[in-house]
Amino acid sequence: MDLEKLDINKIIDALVNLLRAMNGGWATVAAFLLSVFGVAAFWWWWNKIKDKAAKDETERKRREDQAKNPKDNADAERDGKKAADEIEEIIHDSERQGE
Amino acid sequence: MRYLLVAFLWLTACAGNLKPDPVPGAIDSGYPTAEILACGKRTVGLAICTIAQGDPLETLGIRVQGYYKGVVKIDSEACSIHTAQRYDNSSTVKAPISGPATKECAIDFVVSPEYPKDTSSGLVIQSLKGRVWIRVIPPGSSHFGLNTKIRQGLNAFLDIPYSDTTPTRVVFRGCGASYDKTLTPANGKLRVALHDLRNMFRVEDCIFEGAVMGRTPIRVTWQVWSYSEKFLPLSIPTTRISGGKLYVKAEAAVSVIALDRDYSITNETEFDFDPSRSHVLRLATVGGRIMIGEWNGSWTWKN
Repeated sequence: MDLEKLDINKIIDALVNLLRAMNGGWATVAAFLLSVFGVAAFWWWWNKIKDKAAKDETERKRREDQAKNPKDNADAERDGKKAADEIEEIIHDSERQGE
Repeated sequence: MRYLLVAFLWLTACAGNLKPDPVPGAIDSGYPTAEILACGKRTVGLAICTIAQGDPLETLGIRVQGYYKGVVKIDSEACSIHTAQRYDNSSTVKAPISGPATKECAIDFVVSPEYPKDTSSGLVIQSLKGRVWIRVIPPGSSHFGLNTKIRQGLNAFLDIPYSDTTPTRVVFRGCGASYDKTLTPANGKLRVALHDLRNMFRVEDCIFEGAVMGRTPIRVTWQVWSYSEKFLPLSIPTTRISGGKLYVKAEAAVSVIALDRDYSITNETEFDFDPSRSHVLRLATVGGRIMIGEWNGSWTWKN
C-alpha cells in the first residue's frame, strides 16, 4: 500500500459513518475515540520512520559535502595560484620590456 | 464534527513545518549560497578580496553567516585552515586567518544548518557552500574583481571599467584559459566574453586571473561558477511595511524566513520593523536556496 497516497477525506468519511451507524451511547464515543487515537498512533509511527530516514540522509549528505570541501579547495587554489603567478610574470615581462 | 476533524488533522500535519523544495539542491547544482561577509561586503556564495602583499589578513574580516544553529566547515590549504566550528543563535563564524598576506588562497565554507524542526519534517536539509578568493597584489597596484554565477552553457560578460580610449592588450589565465587580445574600450569599459575564455558546459567553478596592460596595469579577477540548468534561484518575496510591521510572503518552497535574528518556520509571516534602521531579511529552503534582502531605506536583493 502506498501510504503517501492515503486519502484523508476517505478516512474521515469512514469515521463519521461509523459514528452514525453506532447510533449514540458510550460505546459510540469509545469507538470513535479509539479510531481517532488509532489513526493518530499510526500517523505518529509513520512520521517517526520518515523522520529517521530523512535525518540519516541529511547526516550522510552533510558528511559527504564536508569531506569534499578540502579537495574542491585544493583544486581551486592550485589553479587560481598558477593563474595569478602567470599573470604576475606577464606584467613583469611587459614592464621590463617597457624600461 | 466533520469540519472540526479536518481542521484538527490539518493543523497537526502542516502548522509550522519545514517544506520540501522541488528544485534540485543548491550545493549539488554547483550554485554556492552561503552568506559571506568579507572586505566590508555581504555576498551570497562568492567573494573576492584583494590585499597588498605583507598586509595583515585579519583586516579582511572574513565571516560566514550561520542559520539558526549548526556546523560550519572551513578549509583552505594555502591559508592552512581545516576546521569545523559549531554555532548557535544565527551567529556568524569567523575564518581563522591571521599574519601577513604572502600568497593567494581560497577559503571554502560548508554551512550545515540544523533547524528546530529538522527531526519532525521527514525532509533532508542540505548544506550551503561558499568561497572567498584572496588575491595578493603588489602594494600600490590596482585591481578589479567580479563574481558571476551563470547557468551552464550560457555566455557571460565581464565589463572592466577603463577610462582610456586607445586599444589595449588584455590577458587572462586560469581554468585552461589562455586569452591574449587587444580590445578597444567602449563607453568607458573593456568587455570580455566568457566563451572567449572557456566554454563551460559542465557544472564547475573557475578562477580567471587577468590583467589590462595599459600604462599602469590593472589586475583583474573573474570568479565564475557555472550551475546546472535544472537549478532555479529563489525569487524575490512580496514585502509590505505597514504600522511598524513588515509582512513577507515568499514562494511556497520557502521554509525559513528570518529578519535579523528573529526566525519563523513558514513562507508567510510578519515581523516588528523599524524602517529607520538597517535590517537583513533572509529566506531559505531545505534545498539550500537562499534570498537575502538588505534594508537601507529600500531593499537590495541578493541570491
